[in-house]
Amino acid sequence: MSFIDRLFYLLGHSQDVGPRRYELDEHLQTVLEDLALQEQRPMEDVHADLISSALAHRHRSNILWDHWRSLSPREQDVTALTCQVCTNPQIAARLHISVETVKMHMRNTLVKFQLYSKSELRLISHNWGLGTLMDTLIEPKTGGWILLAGACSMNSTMLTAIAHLGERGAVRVLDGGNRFNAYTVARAAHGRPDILERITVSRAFTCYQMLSLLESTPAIPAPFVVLDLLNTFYDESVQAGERKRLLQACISHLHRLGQAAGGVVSIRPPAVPSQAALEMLDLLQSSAVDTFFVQMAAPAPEPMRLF
Amino acid sequence: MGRTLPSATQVFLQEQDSFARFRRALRRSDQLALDDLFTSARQHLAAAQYASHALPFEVFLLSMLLEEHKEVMRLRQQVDELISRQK
Amino acid sequence: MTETIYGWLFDVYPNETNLTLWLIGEDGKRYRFVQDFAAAVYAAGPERRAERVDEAPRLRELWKWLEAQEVPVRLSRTERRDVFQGMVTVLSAEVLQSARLDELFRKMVAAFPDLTYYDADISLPLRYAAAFNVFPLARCRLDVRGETVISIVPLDTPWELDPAPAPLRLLSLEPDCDPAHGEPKAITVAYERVRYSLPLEKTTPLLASLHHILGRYDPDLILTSWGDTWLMPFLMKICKESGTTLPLNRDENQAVVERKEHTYFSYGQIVYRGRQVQLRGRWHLDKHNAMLWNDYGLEGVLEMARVTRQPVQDAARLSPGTGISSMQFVTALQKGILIPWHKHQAETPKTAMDLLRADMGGMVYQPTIGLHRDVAGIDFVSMYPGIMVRFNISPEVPRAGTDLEPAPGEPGIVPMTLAPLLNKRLALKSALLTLHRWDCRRTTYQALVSAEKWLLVTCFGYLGYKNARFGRIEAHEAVTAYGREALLRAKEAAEDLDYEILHMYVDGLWVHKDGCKTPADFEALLADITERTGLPISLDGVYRWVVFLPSRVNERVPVPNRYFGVFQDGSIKVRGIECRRRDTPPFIAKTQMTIMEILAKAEDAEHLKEVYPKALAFVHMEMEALRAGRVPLEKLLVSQKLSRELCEYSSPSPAARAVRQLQEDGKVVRPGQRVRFLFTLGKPGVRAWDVPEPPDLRYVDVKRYQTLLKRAVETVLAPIGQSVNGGKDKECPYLFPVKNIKPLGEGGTQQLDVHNLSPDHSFRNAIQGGEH
Repeated sequence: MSFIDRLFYLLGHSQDVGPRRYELDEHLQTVLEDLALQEQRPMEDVHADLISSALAHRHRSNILWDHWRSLSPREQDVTALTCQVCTNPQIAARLHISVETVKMHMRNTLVKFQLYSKSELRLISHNWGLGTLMDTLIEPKTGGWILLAGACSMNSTMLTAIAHLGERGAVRVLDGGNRFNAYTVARAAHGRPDILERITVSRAFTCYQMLSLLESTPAIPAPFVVLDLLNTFYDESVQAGERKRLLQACISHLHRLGQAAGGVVSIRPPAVPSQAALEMLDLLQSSAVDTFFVQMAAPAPEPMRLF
Repeated sequence: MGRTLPSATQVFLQEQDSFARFRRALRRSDQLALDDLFTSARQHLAAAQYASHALPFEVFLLSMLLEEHKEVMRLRQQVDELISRQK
Repeated sequence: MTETIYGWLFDVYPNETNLTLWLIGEDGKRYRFVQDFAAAVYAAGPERRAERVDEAPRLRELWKWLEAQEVPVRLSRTERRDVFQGMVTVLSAEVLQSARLDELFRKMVAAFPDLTYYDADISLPLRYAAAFNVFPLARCRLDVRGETVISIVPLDTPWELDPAPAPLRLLSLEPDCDPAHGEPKAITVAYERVRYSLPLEKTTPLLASLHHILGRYDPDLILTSWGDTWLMPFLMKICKESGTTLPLNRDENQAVVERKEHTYFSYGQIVYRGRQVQLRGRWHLDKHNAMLWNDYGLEGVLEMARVTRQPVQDAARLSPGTGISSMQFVTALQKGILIPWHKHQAETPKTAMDLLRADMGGMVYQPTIGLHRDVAGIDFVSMYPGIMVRFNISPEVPRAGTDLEPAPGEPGIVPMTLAPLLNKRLALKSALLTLHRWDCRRTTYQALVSAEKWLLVTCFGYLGYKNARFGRIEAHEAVTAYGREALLRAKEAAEDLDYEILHMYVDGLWVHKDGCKTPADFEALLADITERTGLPISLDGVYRWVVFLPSRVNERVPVPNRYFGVFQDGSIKVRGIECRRRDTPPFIAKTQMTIMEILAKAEDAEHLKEVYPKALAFVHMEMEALRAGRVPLEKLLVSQKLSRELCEYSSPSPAARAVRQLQEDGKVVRPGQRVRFLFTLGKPGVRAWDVPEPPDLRYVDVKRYQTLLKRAVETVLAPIGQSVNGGKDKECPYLFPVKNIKPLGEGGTQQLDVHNLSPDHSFRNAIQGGEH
């Protein structure tokens, strides 16, 4: 059982793992021993410290969750774009509102989050992204699907999450961006063939194929993950109106699939921003149960990582 | 279309990279020996790819071992020859 | 009054109401006819099979809509085969004035975007070719009444090896220099035995002369250099300015067809297609805008047109991918298979484990590095197409397993299309082996073989191409799986017969066995491999010696695609080294090539010792010439493609810097186009070639060229030198040291140039850089 799973379990996330055994796996054992040696403290103390700081982090995350849900859709948009380091005029242009309106939304958001400045907001969203993502992916909720919008680096997290889902049962992956690196999934699954046999993948290389793929996927109680849905829709050789029509049809199938199982749809921003891309993003956002704009922190430089 | 998975060389380089921290902490002379080991695994990339093993590093390790063993056999033969020449 | 005429079909294109045909008559006359021709488009609703009319409500609406259109259509309900879905109920809309099909279809799609369409974007000449089984330059019998064709019957097929050639009249127009590099002052006009130069300054006599030639000589083909991009537009411009006309078209009712330039992505590469000017009733071919002209010339272009049935002007300019696609369309039309407008079929789900096993290309080995003697290069003949045909790999044919057995049942559309092409190529190749060296058919056959090779080489990639109507990724993967299996069986066959495997690459092996030197010695092996795999394999040749080169960065790491060797007949085969790269300056490529030619003079590997000093002496000479500035500047030109728009570069490559200079001169270079430049001292370090002022000799970066030369020489001489001096001995009689890679950050400048592309480059440098 990984550290995170154990943590979830400790926090009461239902997952029947049999009798409570607090055995440390070896990796964790070594890390804790090293830390204890460094800090010249008993291992139990270090252990307790870590758990409480992780819990605190969780607690903060939960609070942040509540704050997030209390924002209006527009406020969420403005927040997300702010955390993507856009300036107010850029945000105004993207959302087709005035700069004044952007500022107003931001003011309201800061009040709801009980913060004083935009830079504080960016700071907390930085630390929040990864944990939230893992939560969402490990427990996709039935009755609708979730949209994750982020940069390329999100892909390996998605693949890792798919491996974790595979531990529990079948997973269907619809790959629209040629991103299903089976080696990454295999590594996260520790090479276990039973998991790898439970994960199925289909690739689509054009938006027509994407629709076909969704049409032919049956609505069964097994979670589905769509990787990089919009990638094939950024192809400008197909007319924008046609692409939108196809996307609408895709969304109706996502809805159909979401009735029977939980689903996650990931998208990336286009290489060249365009009106059509924004409209398609809006379409998806309005049909998703929840949307998360994920900003992955840059990989940390070499200092001692704990996990 | 197609070619979703990285090539054998790319997979190999990723695996090699994942040991960068280990390598860094080694003595310089040990680093060179480690590099040699990795290089010897590159002799068998085609077979590693064909194997389609879920955890490719296991196959790379086996390749390194294979090359080491070839070297051992070669040395063994040389030693035998030297001994018989002395007699 | 019905007349019968015999001749060669020259061209087919739509006019306002029906089709225009041109024929080169056997009597030498050029005929123009018209023919009524109907073309159909099909539409299917969301429900596949509808027994009764009321089960397909959308189709019924479409029917009513079509009846109300002013373009006359013949409507019917029918069942046809969709390659992926099986039998489908479709509405057939046959347009009698086929030229108006496109217009009608566009409206149909706008009104009914949700339906599935078939046979929607097939060009009329291709439909015509499929309907009557004809092709460009087919010999035909026509029955005509006045100007109208009553019937057309082909008298030969595209698969003939020696068709009777049509008596084409060829007019050549050549500007006296490349318009990209300077202002042309005259064009050379040539036809039959006539040849003279026309100055461009005086436009009136120029136009008068051309008008006269076009009228008197009446060429079938106008062959130009830079005709698409410069000459034709220039002529048309001066016509307009002077208010005259040139009979460039034979068909006075049609305008000259102009197509704009465009850039597109294909397989991760940027491809640039220049503007085009096509004629009606005559052909215009531009040598510099014809794909692969250097490979197979006019005869190859005509063969492409014959075999793909595309009009000659298109066949010359379009890629082999479009060629294969056209061939598949013709097969589909003739067999009544629906051609989907868009590719819908997605991949059937596979497990992650399956993907690990399936998503692989051809088997690419790591060669045994170094010099080897008496090596046989054996290759499967057209392996992938051969596999597709023999094992019946096609999108609609289900696969049984991975055993090398043909899938049972009817041949699928892909093998059906490929089989005659493959057979023709095999027949030509075996004919070439028996032809005498001076038989005049040799060059022709070689051109045909080359054209067909390109088509065949493309068809595999096309099977996996996302927009290919009949492509399917599972089929693509099946082909590579069979390829790997075949190669491994070949390896086993060779090893069972005690051969040593030196290298393997997708469809070929290099093997050695002591005592086997002549082609006859390897026949038993070839036979055994064919028996085990079911695929034909042949001997490329026996090398006197061949060198497999290691990676630039680490001499213990083998690289699959860099080698050079000499066959027993003295010919040299080279792959992957500098002289094969398009961006290597000609001087360096020539030097490298010459070194190999000197080495090739050694009768066998033993005699390499004797020629080696000669090679060294030559290198001395060339280095001296470079140092003394005696190398002409054109020979030092580097030619690189611009890979993206200038603004997208964070730090501009040498090519980008050269393009910037061209831009300052008012010239436009698009991504995908090549730019030529010299390396110069100081900033910006390059000097674009195609600017008017000649470059200054003093500023050429001689040191850089010296380094490039050294590297190229080293590639070829190092392994020979080591071998000549007995194995791993590092003391080669060299002029300069062997090791060359400077890690980052160690004084001096890192020679970061495109010649050093190796996958481990960044990792190694990162590790080494971190240390020093």
